[in-house]
Amino acid sequence: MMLSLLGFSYIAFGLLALAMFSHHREVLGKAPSDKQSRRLSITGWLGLALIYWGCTLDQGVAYGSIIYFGLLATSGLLVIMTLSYRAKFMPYAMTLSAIFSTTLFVIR
Amino acid sequence: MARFAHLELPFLSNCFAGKLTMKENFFRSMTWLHTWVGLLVCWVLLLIFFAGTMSYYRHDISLWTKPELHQNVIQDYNASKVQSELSKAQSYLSQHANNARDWRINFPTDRKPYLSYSWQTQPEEGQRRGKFIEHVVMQEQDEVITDVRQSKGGNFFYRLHFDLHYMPAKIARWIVGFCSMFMLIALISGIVIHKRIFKDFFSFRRNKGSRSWLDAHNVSSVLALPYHLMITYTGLVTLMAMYMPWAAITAYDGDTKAFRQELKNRPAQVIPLGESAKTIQLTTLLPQINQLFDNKPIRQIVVTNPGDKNSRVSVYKDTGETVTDRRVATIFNAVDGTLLNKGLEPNSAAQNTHDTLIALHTGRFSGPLLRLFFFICGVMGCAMIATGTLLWANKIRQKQHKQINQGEKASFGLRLVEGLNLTFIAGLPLAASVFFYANRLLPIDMVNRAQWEANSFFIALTAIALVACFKRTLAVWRYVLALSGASLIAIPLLNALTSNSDLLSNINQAQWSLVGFDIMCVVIGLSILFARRKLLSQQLKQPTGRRAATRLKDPMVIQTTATTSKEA
Repeated sequence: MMLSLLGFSYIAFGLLALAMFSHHREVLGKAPSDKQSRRLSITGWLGLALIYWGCTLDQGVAYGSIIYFGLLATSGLLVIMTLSYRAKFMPYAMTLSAIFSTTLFVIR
Repeated sequence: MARFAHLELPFLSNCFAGKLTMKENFFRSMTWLHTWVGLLVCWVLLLIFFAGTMSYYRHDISLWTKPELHQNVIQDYNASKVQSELSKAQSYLSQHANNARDWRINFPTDRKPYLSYSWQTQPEEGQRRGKFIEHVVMQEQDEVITDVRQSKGGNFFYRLHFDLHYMPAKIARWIVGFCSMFMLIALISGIVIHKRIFKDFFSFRRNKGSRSWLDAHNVSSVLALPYHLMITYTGLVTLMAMYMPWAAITAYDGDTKAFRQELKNRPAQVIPLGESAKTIQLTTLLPQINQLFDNKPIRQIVVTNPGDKNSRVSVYKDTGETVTDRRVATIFNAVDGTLLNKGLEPNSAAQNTHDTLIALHTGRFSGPLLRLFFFICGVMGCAMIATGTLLWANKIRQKQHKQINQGEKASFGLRLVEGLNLTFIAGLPLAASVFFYANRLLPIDMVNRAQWEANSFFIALTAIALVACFKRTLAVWRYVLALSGASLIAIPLLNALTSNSDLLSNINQAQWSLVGFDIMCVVIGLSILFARRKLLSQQLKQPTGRRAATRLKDPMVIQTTATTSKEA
């Protein structure tokens, strides 16, 4: 469960990064429209909120909150690594982790 | 502000003369604070962070450093076996530790996966404590391992992160507290001066010299910011009664011992009467314990003053993943078995807060994944400190670029900082791996063996410091990094050669602590080699720049770096 949440928070952070002008251009090669940007960032934040909810549901409020910050730090680091070393690979990485996380979530 | 102008404070008049707004001035002083507060204590802090991060795996390291325990001892807690284990333990202890001050029966937990009997001998005259002896039970349960090599193991790193070494613990703790306070100040001022926390959240521009160091500093700080704040603050809380004893001194008339006793809800020390009495059969207490504990696992049973008329049995529950660090004992009279203290948790908000904060710091409750996250955050903390001081050195070298190119020597401050950077940043991983090698290669029956292991750690650091006195070039960095990377990668090999298990057999037998240790060493070794390769490729791009800082030609650096001295 926690690993699948790690994958999901990777995606959420990925969306937040794509909502930013420079990262969007780096990854997808074109500038995002304002509307796109806003949509991406709302989805990203919503995702982070949902992941917090998932953490507390799975592990209880105390333990869940602590592990949530660990998830964020680790997945954030992974997103930054991807962006700075393999920016073009970002969409594929997000798709892969979506498949991975959903599978884990379903079979748990 | 005009109201105060007539006071002619130099600070305010400067502020008006330079046409600086209050805000800019505030940022400037915060930047100054961040830079100098950080720089002053960063190497001690790096040592503390490094050792503290290692302490998350304290028991795993301890286990690894005692290869005698690698075979046939790893076992799980098994509720149905507790009865027989307990009766065997009691007969063993009464046979072998007749005159002990206390007996401890330690049941296997996730973190310390073996059953052991230990005891404390009667303290010698003038000593507060006796000697601790621990015998570990083999899986067959009829044999014990008594010949475990002397090693501090993970406790070395654990102690190092608040007691330092080679000095009285009290002084060390004051130093550590002082550094932590500075760290807290540096963190808060860092948040204030980092104006683009969210905008630059994902920004790491590589191969851009000083800009990259700043990005790395920001990324490692911001991503794990909740962790950094938490660990620094709770670190101060762990020793708060020592740093600020006045409340306790006032309330308890100077008797801080009584304060601690009440704080930890410990019963007053049980003084032996000197009359002998037979200790109760411990197994008879089990039904009562199980009822009180709701059948939760027992972690430890301690018998104080066994064989004396005034003797107690204290039973501790395995608190598992509950976020608390409290050890509340359920206490019985050891002669007639009456229940003296149910060990209910005190219902005090202050105490609960305190225990939760301590638990957050020590992370004892955390499962494998959360532990890994804590470890990653700790590594990010080390990276934050290291990049911060590298950034400073880079910037100063850049300022002195012209003079250095004209053949002048770099300033003493710069040389000092660069030397300390080399010693601590590149040296700490090497010293840690030297510690592990010493653990396996020093003769088993060496006098003061455990101390020599610790010495070897510091000898390695000193060796690098000596090199750093004469040469601090990139070549030296690469050499040290290569050495520590290679030696860490070879740790599984060392383990295979010097113990009777290796990585594959450990995987087969599901001894995950040992497997984890080996793999972690390899991963860290590989990332150190990766860092070394990065240094190499950067140098190739700029063949003229022999030293790290001379590579930096980016004019953006001065404008964008945190220090705004140029603007003035």
